[in-house]
Amino acid sequence: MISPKIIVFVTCLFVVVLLCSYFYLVVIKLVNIGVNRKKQLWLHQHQMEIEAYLLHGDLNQVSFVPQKAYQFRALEDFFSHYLTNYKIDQNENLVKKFVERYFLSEYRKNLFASSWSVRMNTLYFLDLFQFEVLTEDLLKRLACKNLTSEEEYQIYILLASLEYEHLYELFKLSKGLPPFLLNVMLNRMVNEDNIGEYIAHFQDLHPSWQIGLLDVIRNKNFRSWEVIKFLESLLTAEIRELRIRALKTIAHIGYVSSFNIMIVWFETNSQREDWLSTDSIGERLMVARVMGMIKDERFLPFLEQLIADQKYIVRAEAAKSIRKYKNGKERLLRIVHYHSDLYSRNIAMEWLERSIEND
Amino acid sequence: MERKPVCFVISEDFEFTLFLRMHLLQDYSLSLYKNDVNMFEQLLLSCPDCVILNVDKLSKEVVDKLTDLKKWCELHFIPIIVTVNQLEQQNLIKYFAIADTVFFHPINLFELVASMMKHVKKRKNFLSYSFIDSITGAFNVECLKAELKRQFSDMQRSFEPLSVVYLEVKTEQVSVIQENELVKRFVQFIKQSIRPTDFLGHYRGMKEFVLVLPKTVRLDAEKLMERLKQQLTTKEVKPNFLNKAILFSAKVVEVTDPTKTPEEWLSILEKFEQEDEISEAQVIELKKVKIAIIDDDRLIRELLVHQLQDIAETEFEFEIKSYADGEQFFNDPWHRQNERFLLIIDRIMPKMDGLEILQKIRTEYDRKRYLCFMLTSKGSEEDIALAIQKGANDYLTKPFSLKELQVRIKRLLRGTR
Repeated sequence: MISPKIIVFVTCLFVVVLLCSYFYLVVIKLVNIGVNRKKQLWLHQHQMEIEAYLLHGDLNQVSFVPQKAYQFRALEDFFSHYLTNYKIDQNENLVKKFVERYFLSEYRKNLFASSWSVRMNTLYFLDLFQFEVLTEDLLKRLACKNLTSEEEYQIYILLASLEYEHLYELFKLSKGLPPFLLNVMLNRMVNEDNIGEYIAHFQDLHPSWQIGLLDVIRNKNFRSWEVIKFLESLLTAEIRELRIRALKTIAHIGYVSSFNIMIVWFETNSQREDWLSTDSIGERLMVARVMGMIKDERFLPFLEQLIADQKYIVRAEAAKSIRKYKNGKERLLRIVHYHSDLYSRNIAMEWLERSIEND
Repeated sequence: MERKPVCFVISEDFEFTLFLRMHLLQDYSLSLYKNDVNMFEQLLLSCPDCVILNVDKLSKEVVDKLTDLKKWCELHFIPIIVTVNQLEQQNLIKYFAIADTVFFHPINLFELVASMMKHVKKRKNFLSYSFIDSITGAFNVECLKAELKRQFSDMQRSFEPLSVVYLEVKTEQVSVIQENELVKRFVQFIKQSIRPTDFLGHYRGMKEFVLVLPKTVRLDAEKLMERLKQQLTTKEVKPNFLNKAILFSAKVVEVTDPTKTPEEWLSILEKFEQEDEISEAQVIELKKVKIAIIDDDRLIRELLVHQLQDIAETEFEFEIKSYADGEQFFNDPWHRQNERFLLIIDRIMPKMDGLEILQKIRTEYDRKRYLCFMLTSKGSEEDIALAIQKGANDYLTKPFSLKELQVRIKRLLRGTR
């Protein structure tokens, strides 16, 4: 049996701890409010000068050089806001010139600061500009022992923006990036001018880069004979994921050099033993999508085969693709009336009632 | 076949009626007055071109209504021919006052027929110069057809949308006179509610109308109809004898092919017996658009020809052609047809580039007939600004998203809807 005194003591202790936390939070909040007010006031005081600088760009006339930490933060906030709202030519970027002169030494230091949030904020802010002079500092930071994953990812993205030539070697030695961030990185590296090189060396690339590259082609809508031929060649790749991504990208681009390629592909692959297995859902789904995006009457028997698939997503995609054809509605209606499979009839009915306008 | 002129005969002398029937039936439709039905109701139903009033043995009810009859006939431009018995001396002046022509018994048939012919012809001529349907107060059907013709020819130049609404007033359980009153109020209400550029024309019977709504898409016309229906329930428009609001049905059709005649479009309107059949009409009648893809990249040309075929198959009928440069396009007489064109033009091409094509189209061709969509390179803001300045209707930077291109083109063709 616990003594009532102990219970009272513990309760009082909790109350005291809670009160202390509360007062601590209140004080922090008040301090933050005070700092924000000071930041606003300082910005307000220098508003005219900042505007004059952004209009005329005379670095020698700058009278708002920050001296204290809160002044740095105030300008940082202002510039971030300014740069995210207005598109500015990198060569004429007056903010970049200012930051380069007055902030860079501070940022060099901050990259190695003890506080994680200071380091991350610095990396995020640096992302607004391409400071090639910082490449060495970033590489040094990458080699540090106390580097966190988030910093590492952000540094890779920064290096990609800086077009660092040994990035691929560096990447191979690292533990890699999550797919989403890898795509962000590749999006910055790959452009219409260098896509040919990536395609030429595709087989030598890291598997995650291979998949990422296909996503980049899709995101950036790269369309050229070279890209089309490359995607078509990937349809017969050994790795299933590559085949799926290639199909997905073809569907997005909306073009194949010949419809026969798809017909032959479907006829060959549908004979595969594992074609109907769960592992092949992605391929069945994507080929149904391709046949809806690139429409040819000869694809319709295949789509009618896919509408009877055992998986809902494949059936739905096939029905949607049929609906996109000129006489798609009538075809779906025929499936609704005459198809022997109940699930096919249901999905055909669903897509008869749905609009493809917004899909 | 032209309808026979209708002659409304007010006679309570059986022999006179028989005389008229024997001699006039070949050239006229005779509508005979029945004393057990309201005279004006009969007049409204028969819509006569002339009235013959035989003043012989007239009952008191008829005599009392003569002044009103005169007013009614004046309002609807209907001549009154009075035949008077020589012995009838009482009220003779009164009969002379209402008559356009007076005949005394015994009647010379040729004189009567000649007089009727003269009056009916005069009335017909007069009505051909009139715009208003006297029964309902709306514009008459001839005027409606002329307006439709005018709008169609305007549409062929402007490519603005045009909606036509078939309106039918619902008049259940009311007499003919009440129906007329109700329709007049309805017409007055519609006239007050529409824009000055809209046009309400009488179509058929007493209660069928056609509302012409220029620069209006089907969806907006449908919204207008809903609003009017709503207003009718809240506003005090209805006559006293009606205990509920005036009801009407509205069937909206958007004109897609202005080369058809007004009669053809009116017959399309007639086809819709139920409102939900309207959407089917959209399938039958598609707007025609010619699309030219001018790009030196064969891949883009082939891709667009294939992908644009059916982007809006329920609304438009496309004819797509592709050209490798501006010279090829302008050398093909295809581009000179009197149709609506959408040009998808690449900015950079050998021979004649995108901006040159745009400039030529905007300076030498009908601005409204040619929609121009530019494909510019990424990051060349100057090019974009120049293209817009030179009159591009929209642009997209290469490499473009197919979906975005399709949506933008659809919006461009549909206008702001």
